[in-house]
Amino acid sequence: MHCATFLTRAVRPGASSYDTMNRHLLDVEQLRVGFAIKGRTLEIIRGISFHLGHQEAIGLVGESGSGKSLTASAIIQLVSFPGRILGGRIHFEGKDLVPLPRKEVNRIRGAEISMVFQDPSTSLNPVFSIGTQLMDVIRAHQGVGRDAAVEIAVGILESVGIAHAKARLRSYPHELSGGMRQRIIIGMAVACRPKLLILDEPTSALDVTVQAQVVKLIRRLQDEQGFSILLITHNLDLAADICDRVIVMYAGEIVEDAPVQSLFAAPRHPYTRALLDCVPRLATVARGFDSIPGQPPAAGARIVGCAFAERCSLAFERCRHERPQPRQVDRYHRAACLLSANNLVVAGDAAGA
Amino acid sequence: MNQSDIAGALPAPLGQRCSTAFFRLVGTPLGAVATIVVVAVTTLALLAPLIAPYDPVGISLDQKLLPPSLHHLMGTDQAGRDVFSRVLWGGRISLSISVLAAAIGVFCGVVLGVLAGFYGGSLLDHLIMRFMDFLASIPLLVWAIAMVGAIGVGPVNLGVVSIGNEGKIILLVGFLYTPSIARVAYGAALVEAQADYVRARRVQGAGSLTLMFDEILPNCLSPLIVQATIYISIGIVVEASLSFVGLGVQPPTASWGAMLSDAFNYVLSGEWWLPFFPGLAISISVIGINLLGDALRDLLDPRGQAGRVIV
Repeated sequence: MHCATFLTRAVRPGASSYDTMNRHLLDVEQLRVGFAIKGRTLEIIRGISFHLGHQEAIGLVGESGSGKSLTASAIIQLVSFPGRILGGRIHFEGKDLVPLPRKEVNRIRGAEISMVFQDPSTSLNPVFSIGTQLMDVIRAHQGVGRDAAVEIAVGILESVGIAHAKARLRSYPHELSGGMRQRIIIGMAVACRPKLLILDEPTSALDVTVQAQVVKLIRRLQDEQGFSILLITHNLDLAADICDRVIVMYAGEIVEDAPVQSLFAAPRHPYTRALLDCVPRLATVARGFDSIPGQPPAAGARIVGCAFAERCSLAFERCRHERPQPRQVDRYHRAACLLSANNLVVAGDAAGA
Repeated sequence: MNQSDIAGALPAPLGQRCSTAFFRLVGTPLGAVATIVVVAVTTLALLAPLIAPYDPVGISLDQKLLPPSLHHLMGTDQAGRDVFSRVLWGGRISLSISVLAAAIGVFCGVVLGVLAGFYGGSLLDHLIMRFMDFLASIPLLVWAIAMVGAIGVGPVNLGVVSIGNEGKIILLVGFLYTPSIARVAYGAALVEAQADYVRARRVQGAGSLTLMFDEILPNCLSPLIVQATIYISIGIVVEASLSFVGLGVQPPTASWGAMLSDAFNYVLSGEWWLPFFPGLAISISVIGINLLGDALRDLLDPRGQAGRVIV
């Protein structure tokens, strides 16, 4: 059922379903990830499906614990014991990554899929110079000699706006500012021209002015290199800045998947709506910050019906025992809410905010 | 960009980096003193056959217990052997045993500790670390006596290889250093394995071995270097006590530890030179090695380098 909706969403007139599989860079189908703890398996990601096109940028948005980072870890095969991929497929360029042998995964990592972590102060090895670390990556994946690698490394630093790039190669991470470090890390991540760049809260550890620089850098690099972006964030504004499309996750499920414009203008899921209402605006700050009452369900809790029902102001009887399936509300907009089926728009004052 | 520009931008190749590291080492007062002491002690020990004035095991009973003089710079012992010659020759034994034992201990300890730390919390971690606990729970002398009881004193022939007394003591002491080095490496690796840079390198496609020994290990070096130099020092003394139970160097071969334990009987009767000179040799070497360890630790950790911060 779920899978069928996914196909309807993807198929355009005239395209066979086989073509659809190849057109997307990344196709995640019914992915389930869990942790085995004391003989029990806690399912954290509860069957999610989405796709990411070539040169597309999507944002994975949700509260802490909604499973967005774990989804990213699963894509780059970084889920480690006691975590485990319980089921589903992750097609990258038509090839399923889940059963891939470790060697093959290591080849893809860094070269075709790259990832940037949240905290630039800890993402570089403190005892090696920037040059050593950059060149390790370049030489591991591009098989070039030392001198060529140095030229590439200098080029990378220049492309991410580091002044005196040559001298900087000798610097150690602690000698650089947080913004410089994050730019270098991003440069390192795109050094081998990956097709997919995963950004896990890339600006959360930076101050606001540096955030803006980093966002600009990411957008410019994407224009130049044409990679796809998967951005993990809890910051809707950041997602709107970088992404074409936003996927909202709640309790390990995708509740809404829509182009940025349409998501902000007409959210179809009450949770998205509530999230948008929580974004502080100058006009509303005086009356304090909004928050969504209640707590998300505990990890691995058995959920009957809609996971958000307990906290949803629009919930009705059916929500508590019927699990809503994702439905297309229009060609590019998908939401998993019983209300969306009846085409009830839950948009309110968030529109145009 | 021309060729010289490129060369200027390179993190220097390993050989070159080591030579600059050497100059930085002797450039600090501490490092200079440490290097001079260690080099001097090592040279004297190596050159013993050339500079020792007498045969270190040559007994001449008419010359026994002579105080230091121009003929015998450090006096003679109860069998009339020249103490100066014995100190020089003894240095070869003492230093090589303690350095090699520490090297074996560091090698095994680092491999096991980093492995267990990297897979922290797993079955492998528990197997390795509980085995280390087991080794550490039995005291050195008990191991030594058990080993002498099991294989006896004197060389052991294992087919083509023959392991002499020195070999046995090196293996045993190295083996017994392993748990404590492993514990230090384990503690550091356990923390470092969780660091973001390890995850970052993993998503850049690095394999587990690369992560363990190229990324994590260099971050664990500081405590390991200190630990290793302390164990080199302890080795000199341990060798003496093992000689006592018959595992170490047997008389008349000279070693600093053995000379010191022989001299025990003469401390109160006034022949001060018997314990003094081997004791001095041990002290100077131990201090030199420990200082060198400190200097190396400061040098190898880029976070500690003052004056290199770029604004």
